[in-house]
Amino acid sequence: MITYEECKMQKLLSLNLHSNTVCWQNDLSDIIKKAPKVKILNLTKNEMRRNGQIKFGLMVDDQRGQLLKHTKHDIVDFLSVLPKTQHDLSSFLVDIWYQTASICFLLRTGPESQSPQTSPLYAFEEGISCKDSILFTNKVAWDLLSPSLAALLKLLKTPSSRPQRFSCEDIGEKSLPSGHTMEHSDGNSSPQGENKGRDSSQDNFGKENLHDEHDGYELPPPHLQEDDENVEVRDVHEDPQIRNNPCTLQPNSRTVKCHSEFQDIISPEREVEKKTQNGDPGTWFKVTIPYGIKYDKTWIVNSIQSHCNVSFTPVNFHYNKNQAHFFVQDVHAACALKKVNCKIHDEENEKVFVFVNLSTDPQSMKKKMKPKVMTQLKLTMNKRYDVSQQALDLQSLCFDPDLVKHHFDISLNRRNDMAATLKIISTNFPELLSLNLCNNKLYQLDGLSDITEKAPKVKILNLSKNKLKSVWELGKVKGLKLEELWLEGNPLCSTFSDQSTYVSTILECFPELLRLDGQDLASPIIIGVEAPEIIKPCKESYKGSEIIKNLVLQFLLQYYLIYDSEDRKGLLSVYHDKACFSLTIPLNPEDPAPSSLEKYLKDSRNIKNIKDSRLRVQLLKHTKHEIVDSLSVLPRTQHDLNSYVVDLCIQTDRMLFFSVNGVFKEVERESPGSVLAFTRTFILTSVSNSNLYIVNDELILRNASMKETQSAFSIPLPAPFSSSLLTLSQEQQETMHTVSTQSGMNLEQSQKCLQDNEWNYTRAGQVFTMLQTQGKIPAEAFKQIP
Amino acid sequence: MRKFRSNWSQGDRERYHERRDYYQEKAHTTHSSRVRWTREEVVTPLLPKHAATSSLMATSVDFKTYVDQACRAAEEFVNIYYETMDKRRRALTRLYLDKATLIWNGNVVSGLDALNNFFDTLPSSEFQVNMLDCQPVHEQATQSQTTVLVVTSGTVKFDGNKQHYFNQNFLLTAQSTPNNTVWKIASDCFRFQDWASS
Repeated sequence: MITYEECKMQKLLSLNLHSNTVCWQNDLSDIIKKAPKVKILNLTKNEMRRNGQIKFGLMVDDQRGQLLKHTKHDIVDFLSVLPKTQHDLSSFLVDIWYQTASICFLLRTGPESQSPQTSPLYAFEEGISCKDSILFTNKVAWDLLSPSLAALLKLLKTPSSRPQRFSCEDIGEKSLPSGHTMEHSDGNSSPQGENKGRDSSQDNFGKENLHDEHDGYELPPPHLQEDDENVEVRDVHEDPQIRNNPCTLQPNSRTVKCHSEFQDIISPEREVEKKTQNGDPGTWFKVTIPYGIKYDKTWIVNSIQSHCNVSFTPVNFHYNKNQAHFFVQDVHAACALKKVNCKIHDEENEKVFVFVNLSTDPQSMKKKMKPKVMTQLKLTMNKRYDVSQQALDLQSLCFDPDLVKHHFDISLNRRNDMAATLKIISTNFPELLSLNLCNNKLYQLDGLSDITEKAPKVKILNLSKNKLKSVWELGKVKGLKLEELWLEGNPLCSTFSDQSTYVSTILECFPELLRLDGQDLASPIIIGVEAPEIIKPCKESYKGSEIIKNLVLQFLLQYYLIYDSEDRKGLLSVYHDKACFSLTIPLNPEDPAPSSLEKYLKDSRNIKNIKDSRLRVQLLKHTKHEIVDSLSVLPRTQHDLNSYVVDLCIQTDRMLFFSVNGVFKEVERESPGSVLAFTRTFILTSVSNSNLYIVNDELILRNASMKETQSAFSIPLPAPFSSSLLTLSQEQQETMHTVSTQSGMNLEQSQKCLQDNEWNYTRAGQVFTMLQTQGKIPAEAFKQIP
Repeated sequence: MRKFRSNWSQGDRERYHERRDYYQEKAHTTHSSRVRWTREEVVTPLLPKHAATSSLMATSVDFKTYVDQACRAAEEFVNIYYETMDKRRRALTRLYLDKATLIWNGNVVSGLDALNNFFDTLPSSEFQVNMLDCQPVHEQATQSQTTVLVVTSGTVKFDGNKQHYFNQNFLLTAQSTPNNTVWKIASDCFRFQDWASS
């Protein structure tokens, strides 16, 4: 490009290329190669378009291609790598200088201005469209626009001169939050972030344009909206500065539709108006709920409906990966739905996003089944329906001879075929119980998802020998309360490591499943380890007769009567001479002793913790005196006899061995936590005079649990009676009865009286009379205890 | 390993194999001395014979000895019992006398067959014993059979059930053989502390 003396080039330090229509880095590459020492480079007023990668090294042609991001994936990948940005939408100023029902592009001029500057007007009119995209270019290019183009733009400014198809009057000021007009950014002076934005936008629609294959400014069609996909991302520039070039269109009449996949700034009305201008009958809107897979279809639809003041009918509700989609046809509904965004909260109290976008007709509506086919299908299905079992066998439907005969191609894999089938089922066989879809080459069960509405009573489903690849597909028919399911012959079956994982995963989907692949499942509840039950505990155990039971009870009553009294010395009569007693508080060594048990702690004999044999012996109270002495030192107690649970372990003629569980409280301490629980093990022996004596007594103390505390002392104690009937011989009993009848006292008192007088009948009588005259015998003594 | 083993002295080897005899002489060592027992038996060495009176409570020395013996037996027993219960459940009934009785949360199980059945149906367990106490039982009650009362407390978790605190008491009787004393369970009483709510 530049010829120069090579030798001089070598020493070049400063190069001024001002206003030279340099637009390609490559052009400079020669220079760079030849003049490596250039330190000052002036490239102002050129046609440099891409400043992103200004590197003064070689730029190879490949890089040119690489730098041009072509497919949407490339573009978005590239954009994703760029630093995170925060655009200030309220600062935006945008110019739309031309717009048809779908906007067209204006792009820069071609390089070197060789491109015919003919008839820009022509270019605009023919400008093709990418729906709802916005055109931006950089200032530099603008400045270099040919005069005719500039003139055109001026022309555009004045309303009257606008071409017919220009419909910018229709644009309201609705969509943008701020309602500003937007202006695209100023090229040179903007900071890095905006440059990037600008670059990317250029990159977005740069595409083949740069090579200017067309005449004038015709632009090749950018990516049109694919099926259900949304429009490409357009990034919006951010530059508060207003351009010098007064290409700004009237502020109040222009707003921009910023149509991005992730922003919900669409105004459906406008879309519709535009469309209606073009003659479209009705527009479809696609409603997207990100993470919609989490939600149940009915729930989400109902929630949306409840928040939305316009009623709508969701069409073709389906899940796509994580998202839930459905279509609505009504503009007003779409508008209202837009407002539902972020208003719904799910069970985890997270916002549910709802996005509404324009879309093409939902596919399923496109290809409706022809009536002839429908009729034949109905007939076929009727043939395959078994009324007695309420079972419909659609095995290998595509190979059905009737259908084949008529050359009707029905594949249940296809959404609309499946939809038609389900429709027939719902009209003709609404009570369907069993559905066989074996061998239908089903890859997915999207179409079957409506079965929960169309045929809700299906209990048996056969999906064997299809092409289902994952259990996720089954989730689409989760609403069915299946009892029997066949899945064998599907690729998904081999994805499980073993049979039980397979079964349990399926059971998660259909918890009430009874049979899978023909095999009975163990129980509908869970396959897994069933918790083995242990024998139910029961209250008390008396191996023997009532007599023993009474014996024990009597003993306990007597014992605790004395124990709870102020003076425990009375216990001396109950203990054997050489009895043993020890007391333990079960504690982990690390745990501190609860304060309520402090007083018992010094006597606590836990062999696990105490290893010193001397101490072990010392803590075991040996003779009855030692025992009673140590017991007397313990705090005063009040036992709740109603809480007692007794286990009788051994009963021989010499030994009575039982243990008692119960609660008591300390009388001195009134704090609520002072209910203590005990387990006391007694070994009693009967000596010659047939009295029972304690030979071994072991006491375990602990704090009572909540339950125990609550139920303690709930029943008032019965009047204690002090006798132990067992110890009375026959003779003594007779005496007692006599006394009782004669004195009028009850049995207990009679017994007491006799006991006090050592069973001397005469003496007892004398004492009684004496006391009676003195009035010392309380009236209760004469009460008969029931 | 083999090499190591061959380095053992004769005495060691003997000791390893014949500990039972070796320890018989050491009746009065501290509790850390090993009380010999076969896997499913609780065995303690014989006490030195004193005067053949049945009244073992005659002197305090004897009493102390008795207490020691009881303590040792109790400790070993508790270790074996709960380990067997947790890990070798089938062998558990070998620790019981033929006519032993188990009262389990109030349910009476009596006789070895019933015990076998019971322990089979009982889910696998994980016992943690926190407390142990024991007393020698006065011979008056036991017709001169040396008996020890063992009381334990702790926590247990049965498979599939929640953890419970439990109290358990045993009556162990000694069956003396010429060489040693084998202790067996005459009675076993087990109860959850919160049995009412389980």
